[in-house]
Amino acid sequence: MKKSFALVTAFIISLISAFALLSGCAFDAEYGYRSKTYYGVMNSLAELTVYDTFTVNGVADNEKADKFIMVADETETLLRGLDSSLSTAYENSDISRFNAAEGGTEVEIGEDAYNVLSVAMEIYRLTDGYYNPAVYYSVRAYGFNGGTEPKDFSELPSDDVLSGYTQLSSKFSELVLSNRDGKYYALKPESVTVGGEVLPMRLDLGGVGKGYAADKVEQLLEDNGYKYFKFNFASSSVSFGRFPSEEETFRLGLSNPRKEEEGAPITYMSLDVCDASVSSSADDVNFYTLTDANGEERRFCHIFNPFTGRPIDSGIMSATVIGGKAAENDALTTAIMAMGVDKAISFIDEKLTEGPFERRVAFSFADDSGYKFYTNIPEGEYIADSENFTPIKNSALR
Amino acid sequence: MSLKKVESVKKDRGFKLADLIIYAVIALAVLSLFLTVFLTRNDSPLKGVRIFIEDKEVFVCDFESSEYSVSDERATVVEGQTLEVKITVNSGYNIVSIDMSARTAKVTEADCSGRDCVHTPEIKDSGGIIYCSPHSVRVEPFGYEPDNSVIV
Repeated sequence: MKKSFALVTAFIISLISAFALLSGCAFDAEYGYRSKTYYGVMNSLAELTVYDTFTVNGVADNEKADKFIMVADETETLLRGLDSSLSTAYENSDISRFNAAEGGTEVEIGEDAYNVLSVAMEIYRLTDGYYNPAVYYSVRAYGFNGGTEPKDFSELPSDDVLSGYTQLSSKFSELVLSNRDGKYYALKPESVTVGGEVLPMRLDLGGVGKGYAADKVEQLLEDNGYKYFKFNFASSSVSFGRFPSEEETFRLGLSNPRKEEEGAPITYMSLDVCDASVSSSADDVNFYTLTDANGEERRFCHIFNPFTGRPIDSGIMSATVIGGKAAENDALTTAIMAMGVDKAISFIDEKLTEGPFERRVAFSFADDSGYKFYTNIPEGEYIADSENFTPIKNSALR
Repeated sequence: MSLKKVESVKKDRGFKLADLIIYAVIALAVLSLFLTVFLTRNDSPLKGVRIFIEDKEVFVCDFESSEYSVSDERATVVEGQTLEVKITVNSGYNIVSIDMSARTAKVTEADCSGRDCVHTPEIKDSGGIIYCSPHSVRVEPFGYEPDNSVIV
């Protein structure tokens, strides 16, 4: 064989090899995906996506397809079970039975309700009461969670009534959980009289239930050997496994809570994530507006300050917590939004930047000089998506 | 190498017919590979959209044939410059505006809380999807595959 022939052949083979390598792109060619959407769980939508080698060399692997169907069905059973235990929409759920019971009585509850209440109490203590699931009456009075939406300011609850509600919710610290002979119990604090009516404590675990469900689904997927997945529960809590590629990972965008404004971007920052739980709260998810006496439109959202009994009015528009358990993160985002900017920054710096609750946190807020965001995520690990939002490093730089 | 062999090589032409045939076969293989990959890439415009209520398909529009079909009374269509598909569920409605010539679909009106669906960018390729969580309505392009991004 001639030298020239060998050279040309080598060149062509190199060309083919390079072409084959480049066409491999980011997503591992062996991996495909299957997904399933669950409707009406905790009044929301959840989507499970699993990546696996469902097809090898063009041949479908039926065992893997069947396994996904089985796991997806188990996920549905798990979610429906949690819904019927934690939701106040079901008369016989653990939380509905707890809510219906008189103050001072002990109520038997299921293991999941016990676990969720344990997380709720832990985050209540960690946040000095800024996360408090006992704001049930205030939430209803402002028209959320089944209450009637006020049409004007005259229909909002009075200061006296709100004072009674906050007195009752502050008793959440007196809740006693116990586990005896394999059964779980919750001892209710004493009732409080508000406006001449004796009110027992009632709970709404919406601020932690979706996160707990995301944690349980993640565990189910890992128990079944899945490494590559994402489970998105209404964009409130998301569990990310790994993405099936060495060059790429999951991309997380933090929603701009004022994206309705003309020309506003969809997200204010974004970052790569994998093997992490993410929870987020925002004031644009469930809200209404009323016009006050000065003609100004005021926003009333579904997130409450437990110390005032009113919807938050702290300037914080959204909060996202990444890492650890989604159930804890779910409660933490609610607490951060209730704290207000200065307290939230101190809390994040002191409690969430290192130690047992180390997390990556970001929150967006508005003040007199515009939209801003604060994050403890190091520079270079995120991208600021909008010039409309000014990044703030810490209190001293505000 | 003997002197005779060296002389023989020097006298040889650069390519023999057999060499050229092998080159041609290899070139053909490269060309086939190139055409297979690049001509089958899915970079064409959006080919159509489907609308679902929960998991039930209620409307489908095929841009290739410029035809649409409604398979559920909860979906109604008003034809104009764009197709206005109104989806009515117990808790409210969504209007999906479909531009067949521009090959795009967008939710233009809805009475759901948050109205995230209205603010979701229009669908113009197979990578996008529009969800209305409160109404369990989903607008999905033909050939949709979930990408690796999530907005929270």
